[in-house]
Amino acid sequence: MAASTQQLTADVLVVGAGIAGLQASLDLADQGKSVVLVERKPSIGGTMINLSKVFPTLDCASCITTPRMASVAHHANIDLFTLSEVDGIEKADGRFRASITKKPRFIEEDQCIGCKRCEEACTVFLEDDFDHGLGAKKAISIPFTNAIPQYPVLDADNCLLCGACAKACPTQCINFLQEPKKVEVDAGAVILATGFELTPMDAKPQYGGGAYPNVLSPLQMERLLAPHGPYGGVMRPSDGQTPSSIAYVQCAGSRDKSLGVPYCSRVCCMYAIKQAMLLSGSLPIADITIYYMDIRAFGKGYEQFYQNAKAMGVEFVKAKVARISEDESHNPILRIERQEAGTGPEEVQHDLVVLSLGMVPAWKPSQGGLIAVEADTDGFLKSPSMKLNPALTTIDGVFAAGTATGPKDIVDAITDAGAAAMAAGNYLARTQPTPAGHLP
Amino acid sequence: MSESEQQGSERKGNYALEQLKQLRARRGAGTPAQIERSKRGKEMQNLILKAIADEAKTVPEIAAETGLPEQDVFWWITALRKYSRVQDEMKRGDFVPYRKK
Ligand SMILES: Cc1cc2nc3c(=O)[nH]c(=O)nc-3n(C[C@H](O)[C@H](O)[C@H](O)COP(=O)(O)OP(=O)(O)OC[C@H]3O[C@@H](n4cnc5c(N)ncnc54)[C@H](O)[C@@H]3O)c2cc1C
Ligand code: SF4
Repeated sequence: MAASTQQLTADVLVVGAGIAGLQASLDLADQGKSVVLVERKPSIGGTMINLSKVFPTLDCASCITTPRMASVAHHANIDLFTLSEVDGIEKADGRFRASITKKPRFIEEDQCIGCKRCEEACTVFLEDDFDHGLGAKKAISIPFTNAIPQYPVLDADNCLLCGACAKACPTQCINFLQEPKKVEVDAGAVILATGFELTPMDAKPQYGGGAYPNVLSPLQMERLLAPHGPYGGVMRPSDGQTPSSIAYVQCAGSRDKSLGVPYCSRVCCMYAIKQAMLLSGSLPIADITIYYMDIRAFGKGYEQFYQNAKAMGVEFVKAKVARISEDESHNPILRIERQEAGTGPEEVQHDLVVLSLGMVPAWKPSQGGLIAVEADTDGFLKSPSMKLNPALTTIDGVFAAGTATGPKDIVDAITDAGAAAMAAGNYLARTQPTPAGHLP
Repeated sequence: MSESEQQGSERKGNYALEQLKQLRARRGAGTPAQIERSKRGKEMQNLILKAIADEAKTVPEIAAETGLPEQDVFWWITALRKYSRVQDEMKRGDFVPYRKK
């Protein structure tokens, strides 16, 4: 073992700091349990911090996520590791030993004051992953305005070694030679909150395979609708035009055996309806059409939300979208088949199209790494007791929360996180020696 | 000056220069493709900034003047806007005109 390996002992190791991992960590830490929380991205917050507003309340996503992120970062019982990968977790003698690699930011974190002068000075512009390529960032940058922690990350692969950032930094904290650090955690239980990803834009060649500039992913549209989005409003990536006709294609990555996603991703109907309502608000004269086969408004208040969207003038067209092409002005053209007797295929032109992509697991046990829990037939984590204890996994002492076990909305991810935290607490009470002075 | 800034200026020296020298010797200052991309990026930025130096223009107008593709113009406008080099003006029809700050 390298001499520099940091050793930590915790009650629970939580993997993934999206809303489910944050909530599980807070629930445990508030009950006096020590938590090590590991996130592979440079900031915590997961997908929720990337959203504009949330259905069905239309609360501002960042206004309700940021305080929770801050509570986690400042909690005395939580040790947070960002930009860190869990290389593996092994169970021995009733405890879990995890080895973690903390990747270099190329910044001495204890000296950085988050002033962004390095970012301003850097001359290398790259596509910003937080804005899903629509906006730009620099080769050294703080991931987004309310990122936690507020430290920049240097993209060493794209840095041209000009040294402008180091010259601008008032605290001289840029360390171009920083190396990865190893951390070992000895924990009593583990919660996997590794979340989801969207099916890739290029999965369906008949929808342009991700090549058309005005065919967007739903997360790109979330960024366009966000108050600090890349364009300062909803515009077409091809030319900056404000669109006057926007269409949604439902089930564009779900309920499709050929994609290996035969299931319904549950939230795509609701996020499409939410975005349609937000677009009606920000572009009052635009036509918004949702091409769908079924609308699944499954949660409390969701049916009403759907009815409100209809009342606002969002057009719901029951039709299959067979193909998308584009004309020479990059206007997407949809070939649709209405589900009405006596209608044939027709072509409809819109200014902007959003594909309602499906949800797949961000980490699959078949990928290896992490821990040898089993996956279900849909690829998400398997619970041996789906009905009675959905937080269980196939390894005793390892629990799952949020979209790691299947597509769900924020409310369900948070409820799940509470259940996983409680299950982990019960497991610890059953298996770990009781500290002196505490009742068993 | 904050405590960290004070410590920073005390540490000032050629530590970064030394590190950069080592890295340049080890891997060069970027691949030929990265260097070309950066050069092309600077050219596009300059062309766009020149086009909107005296008068606010929309993306199609800038593209017509510079000969650059509209999509590239808009991406660079977005980038320059984020880093406060470009500002929005009052919308004209379906397009926002941009001006150099
Ligand atoms: C376009 C869109 C709009 C949506 N809008 C809404 C809405 O309005 N209302 C609503 O209720 N729901 C909405 N949802 C659903 C919502 O985003 C999810 O329910 C929620 O974000 C799930 O949170 P999570 O913590 O389970 O997963 P995630 O947000 O995916 O978080 C998982 C975290 O784990 C990290 N991670 C993954 N693997 C590892 C690893 N091996 N090691 C360390 N870290 C790892 C990831 O980087 C990530 O930060 C929307 C979804 C989409 C796609
Ligand atoms: S210039 Fe230095 S102190 Fe300021 S954000 Fe960048 S690395 Fe941190």
